[in-house]
Amino acid sequence: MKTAAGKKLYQALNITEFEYNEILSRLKRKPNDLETYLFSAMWSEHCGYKHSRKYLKRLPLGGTVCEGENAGGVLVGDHVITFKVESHNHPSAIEPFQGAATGIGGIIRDILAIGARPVALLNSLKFGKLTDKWVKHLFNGVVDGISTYGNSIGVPTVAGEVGFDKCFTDSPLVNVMAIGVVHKDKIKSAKAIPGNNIVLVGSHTGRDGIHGASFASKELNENSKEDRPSVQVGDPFMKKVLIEATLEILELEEVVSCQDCGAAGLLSSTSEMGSMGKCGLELHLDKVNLREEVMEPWEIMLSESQERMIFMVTDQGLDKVLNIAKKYDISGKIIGKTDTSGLYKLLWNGEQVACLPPALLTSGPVYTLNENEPKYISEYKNKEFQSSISISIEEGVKKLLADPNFASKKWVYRQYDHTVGNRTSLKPGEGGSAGIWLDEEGGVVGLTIDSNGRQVFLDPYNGAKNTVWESYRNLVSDGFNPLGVTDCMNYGNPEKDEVAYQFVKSIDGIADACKAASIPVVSGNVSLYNESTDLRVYPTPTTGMVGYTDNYDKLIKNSFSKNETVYLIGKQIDETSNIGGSLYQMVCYDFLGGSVDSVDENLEISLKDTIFNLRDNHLLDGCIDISEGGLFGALFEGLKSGNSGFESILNDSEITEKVLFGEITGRYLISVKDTNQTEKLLNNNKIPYKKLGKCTGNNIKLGNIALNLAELTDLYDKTIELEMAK
Amino acid sequence: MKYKAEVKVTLKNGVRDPQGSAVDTILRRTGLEDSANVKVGKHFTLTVTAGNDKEAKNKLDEICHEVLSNPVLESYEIGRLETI
Amino acid sequence: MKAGVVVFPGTNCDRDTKKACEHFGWETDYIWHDESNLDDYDIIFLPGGFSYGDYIRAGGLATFSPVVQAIKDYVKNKKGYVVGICNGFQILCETGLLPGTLSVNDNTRFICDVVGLATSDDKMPEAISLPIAHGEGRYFADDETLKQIQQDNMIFLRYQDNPNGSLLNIAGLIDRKNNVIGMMPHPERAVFKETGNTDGMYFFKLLEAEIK
Repeated sequence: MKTAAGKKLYQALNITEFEYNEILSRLKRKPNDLETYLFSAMWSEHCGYKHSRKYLKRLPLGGTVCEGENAGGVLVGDHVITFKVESHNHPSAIEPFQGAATGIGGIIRDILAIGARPVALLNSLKFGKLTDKWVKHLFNGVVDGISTYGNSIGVPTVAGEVGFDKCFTDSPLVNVMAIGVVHKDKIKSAKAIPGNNIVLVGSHTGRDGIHGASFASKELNENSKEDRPSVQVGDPFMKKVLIEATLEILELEEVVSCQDCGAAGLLSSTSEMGSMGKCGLELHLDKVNLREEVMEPWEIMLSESQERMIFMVTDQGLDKVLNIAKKYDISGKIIGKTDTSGLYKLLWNGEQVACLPPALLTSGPVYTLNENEPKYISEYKNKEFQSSISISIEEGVKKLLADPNFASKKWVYRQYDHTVGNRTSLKPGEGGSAGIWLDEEGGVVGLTIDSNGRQVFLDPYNGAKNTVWESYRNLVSDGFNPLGVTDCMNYGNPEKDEVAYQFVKSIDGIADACKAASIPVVSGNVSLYNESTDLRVYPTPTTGMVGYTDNYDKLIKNSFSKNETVYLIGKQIDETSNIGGSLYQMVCYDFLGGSVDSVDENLEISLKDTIFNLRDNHLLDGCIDISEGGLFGALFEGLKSGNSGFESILNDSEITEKVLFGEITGRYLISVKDTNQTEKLLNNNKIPYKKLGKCTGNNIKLGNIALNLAELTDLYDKTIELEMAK
Repeated sequence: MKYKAEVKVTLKNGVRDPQGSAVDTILRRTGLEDSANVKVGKHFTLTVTAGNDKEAKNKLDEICHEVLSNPVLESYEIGRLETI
Repeated sequence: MKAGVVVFPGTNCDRDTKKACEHFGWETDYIWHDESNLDDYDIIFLPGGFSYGDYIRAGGLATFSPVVQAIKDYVKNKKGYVVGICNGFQILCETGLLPGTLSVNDNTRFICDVVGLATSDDKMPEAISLPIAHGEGRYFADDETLKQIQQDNMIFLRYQDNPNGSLLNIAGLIDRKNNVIGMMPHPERAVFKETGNTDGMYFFKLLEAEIK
């Protein structure tokens, strides 16, 4: 078939000549038009992971439960905590509300597909500068989409991060993470098994998101706006009904496997199931319930209509499944059968219209990426930071607090229902992470999501490593023992050498950090081509981490209250410290450069043990890890929560920008009452520490600088709200 | 001159309408109508100031495109213009 | 004590409400929206959520369910208590079992927070704090209705710092003649210490005292 522009169909579908030849040689014949459509979707970056697959294998999996399924997990007692983070960047750049909403819809389905009830959502959002009118539109739309969809389905959005930088202006990042809980004996696989019926349950199939899968693999350009009809529309009401119906269906032992319809819809879900089970499938496309009168087979296969699930069911179980669908008033339709042929066969009104081994679709080409260091790395490393236009500490503090990257995100999380589910133990703003009560086992699950694109841009290996450890510290500071990681890799165009290098080195960084911390990467997602003609996003690996504590009473507060003494434990900043990528350099001086701190893994682990020792000995009152905003940032957050001023005992020579705002790894602030016992324990554990001062009064006093807490809090709380009201 | 106009905003053809489907379900369950195929839209009335009909129409187009509708998902229809 | 928790398609606080009821030792069942026999229950909860997606109007479409008709009879025949929380309050107003209506928050956004509440029932402390989570929680009624509500002493919960623009700071109403209660805050989310707040217990204790 030739398309209007005179191109061959495969060319019009962005299949390269190399890939087309690959198809010819593997298939040993020419694909027909329908099959060409199937390849174009399944071999797209979005479904095929062709630029990333080779490298993702470097991530450690040890300890993962349900490896290779829709979402992996970790075991807590008899229950599996399953979790995954996924991006919906490209759709959100076009239609922020629906893009974000369907992003949640997608990640929820992944959790659901293994039989787990979704219990929490987190998100990591990146936008351009908030003063930009278009950025406000995107930011508002994404938050509204998450709020509308997440709130309706009754899954609390308990934590997240929002960042702003010019590099995200054209390509916002919308990463959503979901967490589910399932008894270990009730996990369902996505593997197809011969001799079963294929049942499609949920919404009718329409023309939503057709080409969405290939769309997500393209750089956004001037013509992207014309791609708009492919935007999927979510229906949170239908999703909530589908969640309940699915969980009821998965209770049936006659249901042998389950898969959700996400990117490349029916095609991707069924071919993956076939491929995983090395099983034959026969799909009767004319039996699919349609929302529109006339749809072509390729449209039915590629449709990304939301809220649909696939179940493989024995003959005996069919009535039961269909009755549950009926009870919930949703469509349930037998659309095919599995067999032992090992072939993926599509039929249209009884006639076979496609036939090929499913593994051909699911194992697309694998590309090797550039690993040579690009020039920009050393250029940026050698940039020297000189605060020549030196500003006062007071000015620095105010600029930092009023920067939307640091300022309170209350305007955002107040719009998310974070208490539905009756399980939220740590709410947004109450800690470095969120806490979900696992009443099934008695303790609390800790959840956090982090990224630091500036550091990864400067040093992909160490930056990515630091991102993992930052998540680790977030959990530890609240009293959780870290258990597992999920990552979402957001990068530019991997065909460009700089991006390829960033990607590969970040994978290595994450892998090394996880190995050192002895935690597996249980799931993940890759989003490439996040760049426009003018701007490319910082390489941004987003890490979601899950931890656990067996008792609610072991949670640690994030507040420093009156009469408590504050200590800095861990690394100290001195002349030689590398603080490249620190937020204050960007905010106050528009500077990005220098070297990034490299983590001391042994110190990180002993800090964790020490913090838990202090807690278990009832010495610890508050604890906050030091991250964006440096020492001052953490101190401010603790004092704000504890509603106390502070009197420092630092020398004037220590009250410098670098010491107060610089960002390095391996440190926390703690607040305690019994200083003698605390110091004894720190000495015994060989932890470097420094006494900073005491919580008292209503001002933060650093040497002869006095900052009014109420005034700073006001600035911190209102920045985003005021900007959005403009 | 002041023009009074009515604007109807509806979902584009083929775009999923969750609200319409939910109303369909209720109509079916209550036995009022089996397949009502409800589509939900928005109705606006507004007045604009313009020199002539064409100018008014252009202004309304801009208002509809920029503010009243979400051009990604919705289309709009401007009803008869009345001068007031 | 036997409680029923109504489940519409789109309800999302059914499990939370059941968990809270069971914490107080109440025997608790779910009541599917097709059900029309409610004789077994001492108390019926219309829990929070987005019944039928809250499409068209919050709580609007749910009122056409058989169970809502049954609830009207249940109230008429004084079989027991009906408690609508959040979306349930909206449904009670839509059906006319409670006066007034709940409209879009005056900041036009969904609000999730913990709010301070003044109570007017002497079985509860004067001030408690409970979670709220709603987009349409601004209580509205005409002047005459508001006058009547006050005369009948129906306002049992008021916001201390009104988050949504509700008239007279109304957060919850009780109709003592008919045993119907509606409230926007979520007492069921504040029962377990693991959620960091247990003020919701006062409300459940109040119900226990009223019913026994």
